Parts: sequence; structure tokens; C-alpha cells
Amino acid sequence: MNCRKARRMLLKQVDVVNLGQTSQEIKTHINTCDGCKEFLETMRQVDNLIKLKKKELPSEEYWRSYWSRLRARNRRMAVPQEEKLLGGSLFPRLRFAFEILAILLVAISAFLVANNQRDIKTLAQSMQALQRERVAAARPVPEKNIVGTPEKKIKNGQPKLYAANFRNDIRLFNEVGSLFPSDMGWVATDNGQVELGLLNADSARSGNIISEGTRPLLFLNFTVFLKNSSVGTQKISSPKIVTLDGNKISIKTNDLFHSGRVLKYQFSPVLVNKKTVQTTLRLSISEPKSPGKEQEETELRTVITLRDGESVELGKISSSEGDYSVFLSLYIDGNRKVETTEKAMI
Amino acid sequence: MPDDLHLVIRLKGGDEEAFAELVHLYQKRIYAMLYQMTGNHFEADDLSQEAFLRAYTYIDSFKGGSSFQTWLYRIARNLAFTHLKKRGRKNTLILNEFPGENLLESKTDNPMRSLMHEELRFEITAAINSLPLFQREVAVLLLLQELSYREVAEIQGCAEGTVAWRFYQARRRLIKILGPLVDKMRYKK
Repeated sequence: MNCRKARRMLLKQVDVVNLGQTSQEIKTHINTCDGCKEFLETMRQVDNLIKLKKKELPSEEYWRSYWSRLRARNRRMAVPQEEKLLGGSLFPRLRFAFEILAILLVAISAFLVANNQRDIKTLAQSMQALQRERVAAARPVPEKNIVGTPEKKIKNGQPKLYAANFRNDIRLFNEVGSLFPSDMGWVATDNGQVELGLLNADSARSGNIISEGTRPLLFLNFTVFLKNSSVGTQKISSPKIVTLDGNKISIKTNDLFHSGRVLKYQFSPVLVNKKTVQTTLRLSISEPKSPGKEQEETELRTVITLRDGESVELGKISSSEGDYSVFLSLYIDGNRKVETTEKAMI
Repeated sequence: MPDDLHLVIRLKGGDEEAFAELVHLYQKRIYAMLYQMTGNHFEADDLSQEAFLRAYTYIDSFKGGSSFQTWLYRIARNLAFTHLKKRGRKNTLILNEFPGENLLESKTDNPMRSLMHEELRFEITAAINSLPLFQREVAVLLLLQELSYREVAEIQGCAEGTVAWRFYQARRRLIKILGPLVDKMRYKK
């Protein structure tokens, strides 16, 4: 034991008065080394000086009033919140009144504008309908009025033909239309997403024209991910959405292979409304075969309701790497704009 | 089950009496820790009250993973850190106007002796304030609050080895600053 090591060990000791946790080796060294003995004495004196700070406390009178001051402070913090609403002074009250007035004005003007537009639209639609009737009377009605084949257009990288799927399936179109009470009407499956576009109530019927332009779409995307304390979060898949039958979405999932384990999952979501999807999920992990051990399979079945942006923990599933928490998340974007130049006829 | 855990359960159930008891139980320790960290009575008073109010507000987030004391210390030290960072690196030495008597102050009428005590107090406070924040916290919690290495590690959210290293650094620095003063006092004796 040399002095440097002994002093380093001493400096880490909290209690240098009793040296309770100090090893015998250091104690022996201190007894034989004058320099270290003096160093220890300095340490003790410095500790004593520092510990004088412990005595610096306010009087008992201060402590007696501590609780009452704390309560008063708590009340002071709570009161301004109420004052903000009720109006503690003239200015906040005036501001509150102005805010209400502004909201009312905006609401009234929005109502007036909408009313006005509806009138214009109705007039324009009547004129278009009249025009169509005249054209229809002049020429024979084609059996199926489809511009090109949807698959071809997507492959060629041309503007997406969003009415693709149901254009060949009137029943599906009608079912989708009936799902949404007001104006939701058209659907496409592309890159594993289900997209529902907006139509006005008149055109959401078979045989009508879907006008061209920018449309907001409903965009759905599912992600399944696992969480594990050792591995962290693992996104396992964005399953591919294949078709939409009524409000049922068929999903294509692939088995996943990870460190010898096979992870299978299936789920069948159902659209409840524009912002909610309900789904049943079945997930299983097969453990790899090891000598003297039979193959294990863990299965998890659950029914969940997912809302936009939510990740729901489905449950825990065991594997040789420890327990996994399984999550399913859903992303819905109802304001996504899609540019379309296609005139689609049903 | 420790007493404070009973109180915490009662407080979670909305019992304000339990909060009063918890405040009574920890007020001196939390105040003292903040005073030793900041070196100023008014700041310690303000921060300790803020710490209790936060504990009251966020009591539902206390899951019992650590002791209530550790959790409370952590709230207080976070407040102190934010405050001290705002205050900057100035080692401000503000005269402490303690309400009531200060036990460190000389009780004699000898003004010379009184002045010496005041100077000593300044030297000690300056030495503690000169430590970097983490080292200062470790020194305060281990030497003055007499917590264990494990408790300090929980409060600081680090390994015990890190606490030991910080304490070693802090102590070396304190000996460097206060050592000459100790020698001078020894010589005078």
C-alpha cells in the first residue's frame, strides 16, 4: 500500500472519524505513515468545518409558520386560474367578452358563406344536370364508361386513379358510400393503404361523375411493433391492406423471422367511422427448436378499438429474449390532399 | 411499511392532513439541502416550498419505485439545479438574514470574535459554492444530509461508482480550499 492509493481510498470514505468501512490494510498504513496520518487529520478538520453548515437553520418560529405560508402560497397559485375565467379586473373581463364576440362573428359569417355557396352549387348542378340530359338524349348511353384500366395507369406512374377498385365493383362502391352518412364515397387500394375520398351527396351514386381537382382523402396505415427492455422498440411491419369489403378491411401479413423465431400475425380490422377502427388481432411467436426442448408457441388474441394516432398495447408475449409488449398503432389522415386530373365515370 | 408510505397513500386518496404531516416530516431536511446547495436562506425557503407544492401536484406520478424521501429530494434538487443554472456561475455570497437565531453565530458580545465567525461562515460557503453542481450536490447529500451512496445514486440517477468519483473530486477540492484555513487554525491553537 502506498500513500497515493491510501489517500485516494480515504477521500472516498464518507465517515473519516470512525473509518468504519476502511480496510485493515489502509488503517495499518496510516498508523505507520506520518504524512497520511496528517492528511487524515486535515480531512477530519475540513469535514468538521463543512458540517458546521448543518447548524445553519432558521429558528423554531420560522418552522411553526412554514405550513401556513405553504398553504397561503398554494391558494395564491390556485386563485389566478379562477380569476382568469371570472375576470379579476376590468381588462380580462373585456377581453373575454371580445373573444366571445369574435367567435360569434366568425360563426355567423361562415354560416352565411356556406349558405350562399350551396345556393350557387345547386344552381350550377341543375344546369349541369340539364346539360347532361340533353347530351344523353342526343347519343346512346355506353354500358360502362371507364377511362383506361386503373392498374395500367398506376404502373405507368401517371396520376393515380383513386376510383380504381370500386369502379369495377358497383356493390363495393355502394357499400362504401353507405358507410359514411354525408359525403364520403370513393375508395382505392394502393401500396397497402385504404383511401376514401370525398364526394358530394349527389355524385356518390353509381353512374355519376366524380369531378376532377384536389380531394381530401382518408388515409389509413397500420403498424405493429414490439417493445422489449433489452431490444427496445422494434417495428415489425406495416401490413398491407388488400381490399375493403363493406367496412371490413382485408390485410395481408407476412411471417417474420427473427433470430430463429417465427412471428405470425393476423388481424381483421373493421371501419367503425372516419376516425375509428376496431380490430381483432391474433399474434403468435414460435420459438426455435433446441435439443431436448419441444417447440413452443405463444399465442395472443385480443379485440381492440384504435383511434387515430393511437398506439394500443395488445398484451405481452414471451420469447427467449424476454417478454415483448406488443403494440398496434393506427394513423388516419383525413385532411390529406390528393391531386387528380382524372375524370372517372362509374 | 414506512410511515411516509402510509402518508403518501392517504395523500393519494386526497387527504390534505397527510400532506401536512409529510411537510412537517421533511421540511427541515429539504430546506437544509436547498440552503446548503444555494447558500441563501430566501432561495432555499422559496425552492423548498415549491418542491412541496410540486410533490403535492404530481403525487399521482409517484409509483413507489424509490422511497418517498428520494423522490422528494429529486424534485428539490431538480428545482435547485434549474435555479442555480439560471443564476449563473456566479458564486454569489449573499448575507443571510435568518429569521431567528443562527446557531453558528457567536453568542458572545465580542465583536472581534463575531466577525471571525462570520468570516469562517463565508469561507465555508464559498468553498461549497465553488464546487461544480454535481459535486456540490454529492458533498451536500453525503456529508450534510448523511444519505448513503445508494440513495444519492438514486437521486442523481446514476451509478454508485459515479457518485463515489464525484465525491472524491469534491473532497479533494474542498481540502485544497479549506486545508490552509485548517492549518492556520491548528497553528493558532
